Amino acid sequence: MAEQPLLQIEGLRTHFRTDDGVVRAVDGVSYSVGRGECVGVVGESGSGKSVTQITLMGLIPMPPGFIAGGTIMFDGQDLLKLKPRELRKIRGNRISMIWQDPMTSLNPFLKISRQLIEPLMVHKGLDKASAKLKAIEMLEKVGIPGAADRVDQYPHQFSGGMRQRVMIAIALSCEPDILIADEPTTALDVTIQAQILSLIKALQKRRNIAVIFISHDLAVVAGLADRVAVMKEGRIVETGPVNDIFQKPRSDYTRTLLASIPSGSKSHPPQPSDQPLLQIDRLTTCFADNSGGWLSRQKADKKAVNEVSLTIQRGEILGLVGESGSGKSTLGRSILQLVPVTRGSVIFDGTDLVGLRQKRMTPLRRRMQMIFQDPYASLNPRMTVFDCLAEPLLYHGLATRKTVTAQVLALMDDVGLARTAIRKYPHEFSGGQRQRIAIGRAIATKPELIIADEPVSALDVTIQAQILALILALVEKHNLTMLFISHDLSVVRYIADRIAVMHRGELVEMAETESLFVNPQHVYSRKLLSAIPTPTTAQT
Amino acid sequence: MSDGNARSFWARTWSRLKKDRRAVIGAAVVGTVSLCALLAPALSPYSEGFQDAAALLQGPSWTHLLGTDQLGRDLLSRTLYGARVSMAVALVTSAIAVLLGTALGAFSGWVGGRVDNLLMRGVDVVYSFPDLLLIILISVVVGQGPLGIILSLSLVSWVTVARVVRGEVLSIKRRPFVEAARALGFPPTRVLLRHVLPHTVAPIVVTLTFRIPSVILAESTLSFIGLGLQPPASSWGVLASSGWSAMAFHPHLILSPAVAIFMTILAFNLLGDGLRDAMEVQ
Repeated sequence: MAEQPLLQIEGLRTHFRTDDGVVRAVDGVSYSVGRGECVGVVGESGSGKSVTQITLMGLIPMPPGFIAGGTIMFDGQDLLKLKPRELRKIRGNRISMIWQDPMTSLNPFLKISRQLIEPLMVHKGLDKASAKLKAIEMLEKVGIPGAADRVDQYPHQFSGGMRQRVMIAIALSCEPDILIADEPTTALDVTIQAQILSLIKALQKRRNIAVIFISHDLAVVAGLADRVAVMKEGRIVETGPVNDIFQKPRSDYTRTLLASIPSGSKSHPPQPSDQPLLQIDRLTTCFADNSGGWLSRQKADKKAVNEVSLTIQRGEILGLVGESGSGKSTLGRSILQLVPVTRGSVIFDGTDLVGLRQKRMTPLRRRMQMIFQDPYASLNPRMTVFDCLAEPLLYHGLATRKTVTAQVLALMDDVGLARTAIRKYPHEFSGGQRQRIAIGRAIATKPELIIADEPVSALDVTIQAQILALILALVEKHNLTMLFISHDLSVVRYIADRIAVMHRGELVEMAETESLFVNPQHVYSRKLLSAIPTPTTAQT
Repeated sequence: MSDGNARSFWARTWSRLKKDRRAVIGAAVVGTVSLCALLAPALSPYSEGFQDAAALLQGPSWTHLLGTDQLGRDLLSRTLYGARVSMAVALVTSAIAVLLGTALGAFSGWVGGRVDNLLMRGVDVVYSFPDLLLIILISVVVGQGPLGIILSLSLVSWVTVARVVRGEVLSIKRRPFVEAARALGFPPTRVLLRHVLPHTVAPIVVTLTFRIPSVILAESTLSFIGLGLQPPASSWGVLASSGWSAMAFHPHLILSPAVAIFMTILAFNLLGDGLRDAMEVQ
């Protein structure tokens, strides 16, 4: 390269002092970004990919953080040596950033016009009127219809995808040289994600901006980046052009990452059974809409689940997909009677669960269980593994005080937890191990039906692959029937025998997994499928 | 986290508290005052009511380390016995307030809806009722003595606890592990007692450590203005009240109860701050 790269990071080390000693979040990272280039930084949670970028923005909280070494050369000057005042001139002006969660990164108290105008006035010295014109222009460029009217609205009046567009407009308004995007689509639905990605791509090409795109999702990076850096435990394990990374990865870790992406369907064909375990008929669940406040007379009910009918056969894994707000989680909870059902029936093995008294419901609860999305939140932090697994066994009379320890140990073997961990608390485990505890708790009572609500979406991709394999093995071993809820179509394709698609509270399509992927019938299913990012675009 | 041993909530709290020097000092003072109160009869050089007619209104000396009062009573002994009364009133009052407040707050937050609304408006009424008026009313009905003080201070204290506990229960009951417990088929009472209430312990303990000094202060104030305990009972408030009249010529009379009150309250507050940090209560 004849020309000096725009950004050159050398041996950067960002450490944090904690109760348990110094954590080396970034430990010797070097990479460079050229003008107009898109560099993807991938890695699992805790790999230091975000901390690296936050360091270069000068936003590391100190203490507890400190920079133990390295240089960040940006356009001829070392960002780490700049005074706060000089750094402020660069931050938000020549280097700007979009964050993961568009719901929380906009100030809810300010109109978006204020938030768009502010950087223009601070960095470019524009007056208010011309800044506003520029703001409207930016909103138009990021594809917000009716920008002139919407510019004076508040963040809550925009949807998640629209808010992320607003964030991008703010980040690009000062025409930066570098845009750092930290998981900008992770919190968004897959169809919205596709729109935002193509927007970033188009803006990057048109304005010749360098983009540092951080993501845990290899498929997303594959479609966007020119070069990719793979991070693990605070270091870069591999960098290279995107095609090299995906086609001939050099490091073992990259190979593991690539192999963990769920692809295709599971190997064994579904064994059709004609005994229905669960029959749902015209199930409707409404939530009272109190947005008018308790003084207002009008009370509208929001139909989260609207007249859904479906049947799950014994031994089947039914995938349930849909975007956030489509009612898929509420359907799962309605089946288990964890939320009050408005209408319809849920017949589990011949008994209608709707309106059943607690006394008759309790023995049935033993036979149907749930696995939750977030293993950090679904385990009681004050209970050890033993407490957590023993409680359902003892309560439902499946174990006695004498046998319970042996049974808990057997459960731990089943879900792949080390027996020595029996007296540990949830916070001492990683996310994947926690999800193993949660799965152990769900299968403890020997249920027939398990409702798994996004059980792998909070996990890193390598862990996700392990947990999916565990779930499949347990389904086979214990002959479980499962409703597997997910927003991730590749995961569902990998695990489910049949797939049901939900959209705005209604069931729009239900088909055998492969026939849905090959030949989706409903308009919405087609839209959903076409939005899936695939690493294969780079692979083949 | 990395030591590999199981570390419970309490173990973690303890290891953090140990490192907080101010909290340790606070705890030591609280412990000392409690010990003095417990062992007052053994520690006091003289009995509570003993009057040394030969030594009236004397300053500190080797026979009377903190001096004597108008009736020749030993001030060190009276302050030690005063610790007994003041601490007992504070502890009993706080215990009642916590029990009542936790029970009502937890019930209110757990049931929610209309019941919650009704109970909390009741709490609002008690909260907005002037404390002093309530205390005077109760002392008229029950009479002036430890019982009246405990009853009236409990009545004004429990509402704070109820509000704290209700708020905690409201937020904890929405957390996924509570839903997980319901999905496992546990009945509501079990879920509340085993999965929700343990998480309110930290804020309750912190509230308690801030409640106790305010009760000590309230008891002293009431006794000082003559609404609380009456002489010859020797709470710190009573001592301060009787010392106040002779303050200009015999400052030692008011100094010992005042210092005792000040040190105890400060110690509880230091301990409370430390506990709040150690337990990570917001």
